[in-house]
Amino acid sequence: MGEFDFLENEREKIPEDIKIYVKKSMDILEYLHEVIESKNITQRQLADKLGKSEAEVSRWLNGVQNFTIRTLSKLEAALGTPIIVVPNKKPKGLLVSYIFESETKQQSNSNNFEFKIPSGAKQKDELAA
Amino acid sequence: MEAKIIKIDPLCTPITSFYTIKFEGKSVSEYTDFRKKMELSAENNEELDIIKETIYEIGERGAKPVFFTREENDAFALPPKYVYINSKDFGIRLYCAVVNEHIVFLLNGDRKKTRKATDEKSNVSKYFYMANSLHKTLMKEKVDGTLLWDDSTLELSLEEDYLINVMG
Repeated sequence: MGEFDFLENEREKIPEDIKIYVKKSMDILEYLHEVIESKNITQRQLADKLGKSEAEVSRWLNGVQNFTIRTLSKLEAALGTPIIVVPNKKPKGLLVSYIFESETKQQSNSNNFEFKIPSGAKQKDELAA
Repeated sequence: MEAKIIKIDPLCTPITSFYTIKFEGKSVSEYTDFRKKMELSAENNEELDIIKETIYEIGERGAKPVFFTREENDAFALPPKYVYINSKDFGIRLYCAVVNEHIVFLLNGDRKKTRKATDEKSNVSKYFYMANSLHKTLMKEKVDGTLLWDDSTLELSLEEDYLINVMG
């Protein structure tokens, strides 16, 4: 038995929220540094653009100070590029489900989709009202 | 004190290798000692999980300087400041030495009880000094030609009986 056997498959036991927290924190920090490097901006120049002290910007770039959405917005504006992108929202109001019916209907060569509106779903015009 | 350098195989990835040291006469390596010690108390679980996940992510991304934001003189400590969680004290520290962007030594640590690791009463000072001592010796061994690596080295080439002198 090896000394590090206890490390095998250990990651599976780490809670998903911790994985997301660490990954996102590193994603943001790494991307932020990549953008700054690609734009050839010094910390001093970024601080000037933001109207902040260099020490404060340094704290952001080293993750000493947690980012607020306000801070990220200022950075995005100063750098001229998005840092956090939120996926597009799904269309509201119309819930559509599809059912594969090829097997039940014994249709061998085509996949027949049937779109169904759940009974409780509101129509688009209802939501707009 | 003389110690053997040991590769932590389960943590290694195609771009990052993790090592630790095992002092002569000790039954386990420093990293194993740290883990076993921290796992004794359930209150450490969340902070420990953050450190473990940070190590896994560094394994996948490489040991880039941007990820090591908690400088401890020439060494570093995990967790980095960007994933630090509020703790009733100063939180858990795992001291480490970074050789290049592909090689990291994970050493030992504890729940930090004083503001400065170098405080006389600090319970983590020995790990702080151990990590800095290891880093200093690694650099000296490189200059002496005993250990060879450059910025792209992923694996240290070690003789079977190689021992490194580290403050323990």
